[in-house]
Amino acid sequence: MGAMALIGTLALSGCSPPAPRATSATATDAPVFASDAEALAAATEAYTAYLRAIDTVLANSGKDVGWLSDVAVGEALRAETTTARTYSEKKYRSVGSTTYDTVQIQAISDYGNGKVRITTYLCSDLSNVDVVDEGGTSVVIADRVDRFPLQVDFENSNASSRDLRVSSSVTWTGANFC
Amino acid sequence: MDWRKLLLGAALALTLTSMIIGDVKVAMADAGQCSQGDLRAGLCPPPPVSGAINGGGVDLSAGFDAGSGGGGGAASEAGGGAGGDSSGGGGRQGAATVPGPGTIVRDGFTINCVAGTPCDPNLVVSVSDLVNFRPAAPTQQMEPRGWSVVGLPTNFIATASVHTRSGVLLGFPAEVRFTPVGFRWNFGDGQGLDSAGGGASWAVLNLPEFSDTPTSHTFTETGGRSITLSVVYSAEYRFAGRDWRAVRGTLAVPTTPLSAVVAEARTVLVNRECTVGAAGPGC
Repeated sequence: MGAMALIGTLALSGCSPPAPRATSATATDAPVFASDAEALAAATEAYTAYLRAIDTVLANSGKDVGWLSDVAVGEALRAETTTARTYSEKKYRSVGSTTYDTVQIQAISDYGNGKVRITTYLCSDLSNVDVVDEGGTSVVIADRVDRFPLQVDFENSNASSRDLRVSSSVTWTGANFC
Repeated sequence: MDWRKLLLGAALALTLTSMIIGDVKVAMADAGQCSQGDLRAGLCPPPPVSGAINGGGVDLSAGFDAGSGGGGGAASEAGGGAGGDSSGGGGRQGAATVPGPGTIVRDGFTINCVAGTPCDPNLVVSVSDLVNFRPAAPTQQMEPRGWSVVGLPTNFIATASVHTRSGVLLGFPAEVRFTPVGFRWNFGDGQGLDSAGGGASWAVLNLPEFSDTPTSHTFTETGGRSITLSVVYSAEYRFAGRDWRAVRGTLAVPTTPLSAVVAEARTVLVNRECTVGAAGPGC
């Protein structure tokens, strides 16, 4: 009986497909987003979360910058963290929220290893935002343009993840189409 | 967690640097990055306000290389609205070994790309596609101004410079940069001149008046002349965050014609100086 059981075990192990490997290969090869619409929805969700986190941090005079690493990465995270610390030093406070609209996908770069970068254009709107000092006086420059286009890049935080974070945010250098 | 500490450390270092320098801005923009903090304070320069670019007649269209499988002017509003409307295409990858239409495999990675959008490396924009795109009008001058002497060189000077225009290419904001590469004069007497440069005044060239220059012309007969100039531009285009790419062909832009009277000059002896008696015979 012992020999039979051993043979059975060997036979079973010989026939067993390497299931974990197959799953892994599928996960790596599949596109992170099946369509542009999915990517756009994910980017929109990520940008909303990014703005809300920044609202929270800047409304609190740049404290709790740890929030930022949940929504931004790379150059964007560096720039936001630096600015938040400066708000903290100068005791500036942001009042209101940035809004945005007209998100357009410019490119989706899928690197094939589960990493994806989505480049978008969007119109940023600062109409409802003010920045004030400790005494409540606005420190916003007089001729601030409230609506303008941004080119915002998103990257996923982990391979094959749809969880996007803002990796870059730069102003569009051409005419203001917003 | 380690990487987060590193990033925060780097950010702190940046902050300290900006404190030492004494920042005018709320914070230094990081390689073109516009943080929300800077944007909100109005310290990240947004682009110039120039109204609706679609209304200005600066829309561009584009065609494709034969065989790329695309059609010029393919509908390509990718995205469009935060609600997320499907743009179609998107190039499913990984499902087939042969890339499907709109999927571009390059440099070891795959780009989900709708043909005709900015990421399409086969996109070809020709000068004929720029018909509604208006480059700056060049100008021309002549020395002497408005007249010329038979047998003596007249100096022609054109002014055109590299400049960039913004517009919409296939629904995406784009820039087109025009570079003057040639100047074509027609002097109205059956003669013309093709020059790589626009020329310069005698004073700038440090030459006496009526000297030959690379852009001078000598009329041989009297009469009125209309001198026309076309400046030949090469063009490049780019989408945000991408490199400049050449537009196929060149574009000739005419200037306003110059009118000139070509006259003969004779040397005559007069009995008083013309500066004293300007109405005298021979003056």
